[in-house]
Amino acid sequence: MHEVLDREPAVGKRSHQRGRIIAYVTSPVVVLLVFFVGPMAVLGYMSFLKFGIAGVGGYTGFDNYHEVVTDSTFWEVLWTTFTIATVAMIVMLAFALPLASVLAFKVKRYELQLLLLLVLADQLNPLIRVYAWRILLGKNGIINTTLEFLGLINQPIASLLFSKTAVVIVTSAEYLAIATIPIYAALKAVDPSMLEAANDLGAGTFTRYRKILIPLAAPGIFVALILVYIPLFTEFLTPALVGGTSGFMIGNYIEQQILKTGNWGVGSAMSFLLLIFSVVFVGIMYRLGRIGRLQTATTSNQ
Amino acid sequence: MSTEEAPVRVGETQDSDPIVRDDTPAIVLDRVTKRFSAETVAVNDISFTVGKSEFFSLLGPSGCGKTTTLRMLAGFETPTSGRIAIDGQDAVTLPVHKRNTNLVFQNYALFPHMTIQQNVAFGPERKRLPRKEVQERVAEVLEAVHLRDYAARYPRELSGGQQQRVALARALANRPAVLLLDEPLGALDLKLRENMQFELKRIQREVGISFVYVTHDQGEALTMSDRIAVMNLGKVEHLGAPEEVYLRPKSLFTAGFIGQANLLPGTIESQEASGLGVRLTDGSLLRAETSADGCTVGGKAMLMIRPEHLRLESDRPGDDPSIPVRLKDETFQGSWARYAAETRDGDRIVLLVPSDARPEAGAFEREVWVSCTAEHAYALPHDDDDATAAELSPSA
Repeated sequence: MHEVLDREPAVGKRSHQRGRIIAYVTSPVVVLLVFFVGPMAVLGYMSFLKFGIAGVGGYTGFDNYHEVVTDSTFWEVLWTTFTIATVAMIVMLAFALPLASVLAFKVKRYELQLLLLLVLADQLNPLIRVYAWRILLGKNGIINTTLEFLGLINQPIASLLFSKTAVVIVTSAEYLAIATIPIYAALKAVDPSMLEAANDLGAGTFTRYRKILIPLAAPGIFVALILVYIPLFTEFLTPALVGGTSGFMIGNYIEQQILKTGNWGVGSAMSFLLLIFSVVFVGIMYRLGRIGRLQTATTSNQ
Repeated sequence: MSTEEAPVRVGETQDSDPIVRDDTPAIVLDRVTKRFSAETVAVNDISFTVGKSEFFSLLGPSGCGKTTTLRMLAGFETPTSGRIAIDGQDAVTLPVHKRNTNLVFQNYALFPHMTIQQNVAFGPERKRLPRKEVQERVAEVLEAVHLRDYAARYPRELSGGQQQRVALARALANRPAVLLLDEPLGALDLKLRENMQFELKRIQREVGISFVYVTHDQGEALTMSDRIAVMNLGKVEHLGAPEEVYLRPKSLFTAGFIGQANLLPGTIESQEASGLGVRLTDGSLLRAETSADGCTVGGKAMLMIRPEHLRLESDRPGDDPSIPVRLKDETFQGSWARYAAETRDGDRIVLLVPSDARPEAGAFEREVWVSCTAEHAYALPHDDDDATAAELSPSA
């Protein structure tokens, strides 16, 4: 391309083409700069400013960051967030994997319709969905009354709502669709004759999953995990509505800093730290994914 | 057919009667039908038995039901009706992973994330054999396919032919009673395919188990098989030894499908101990020493003559039976030359002539004669308006 352009710089058609190419390349860059990097830069800038009751108080260096890392509540909330997000992810994976494989292999006729349904379910307003869960999980909610009716419990389980458990249940349900779809795609990409071969060689359903399907679909599963873990980690609506005091997550803490205390500086610093954690997490997951694949390739002999 | 050949003892305990068990064929299919829907019948009421240590081929064009039959034996498909017994055991409802069969897949289906060693060990490991025995088996089968040095490699590091042999080794490592092969040589080039045919036959003799081999390549089936079941439209057209299927086909379909054959329509004029006299539609009279069942004087017949059995004569060969033709096309094929000719009626005839006996160029300008001795002509009964004959005639 370059060669051609250099040889015939005067031809209008070519320069027009060149302009188009530049437009194609630059437009997404501009979009990213305006809508993505811009707000982040503002946030980054604010994390170095002092916010008091009197308003913005000027540049303070790393004071905000210092305040955050020495705040024991921050670390406690971060730990709670980590446990909730991790448990929710495991719970969600336990549902998403079978769901994805049923979609990919078992339902043949209505596969597309069911997939579409899953996407639609995900489009439901999250606020409405969380409230629906409150009806289900409440002290006199559907789950408690059903269990009581069946005689499985004597008195309602109070901790169903406004607890870590509630946040885990609701968030894992919330991200089920988002996780299922990439896992479904990854499973679908596995050559079905691999599974038939394993079956033919004497592997039952469980072994086929463990030895063939999951190792081969591992990259897709990792993508799903990364896709879900980050929003799970920064979740704030769900814990605010069903978490109570024990299900208080880092997103809520940031919200509190900014909206209740008005301390944009500390809130921004927290956000930035969270961003750094996320990047580190993705890096670790990526490494794990690679190592995981290498391990299944070298040690499945045991 | 199977009922008279073998006692089917489905569901009985065989252990109490070891003599009966020894006599049971490796596979019994009894009136097996497979429908995929009301309209599509993939396999239509077929029965056959496969003996222990027999090399058995299912041969037919695509869509004839051969692969469905194989997949029913492997357990991936359940017959709509009929019985299947493998190694004396009722196999209709037996799950895939509990069957005493192993399948070599057309695309090999090697596990890409495992080494050759791990691929081959996969079956024995599922049987929970001691580690040492697994290792021994893997070494043994890899030795049999000459791939011992490749154990630590991954499938993608091997050539197509090597991958094919790994697939074979992996299936054999489970020591199945029956090895099922689904067009295993289809993806290989011609030279490799021919080598692998001998390899397969050698391995089959060495391990001494039954092979059920699915192919659409009649040459492959003829080379390797003890018996061939020629399938068409879900039915077995002819089941027999390669020589029988090739030389004395029972049906027009088999005649046209196995090898190259000229099928010339005519009427049976005489029937004697020495053979039949068949008057072809263009008026020439040929003699056929052998014929399929159902040929009667006055009845319509097809005369089957292999291209290599026709002789080309520049001049009318006296009173000997011959057909006047015009040569249309010549293809030089090395030691043979192949000619396409047309009778006065417009029927096509293909003949192979040794290269040193090719006619002079002028032969294309005038009428020449083709002749065939009675021992190489074979008559098949043929109903009127049978369109298949035209379809089956060899194309140029």
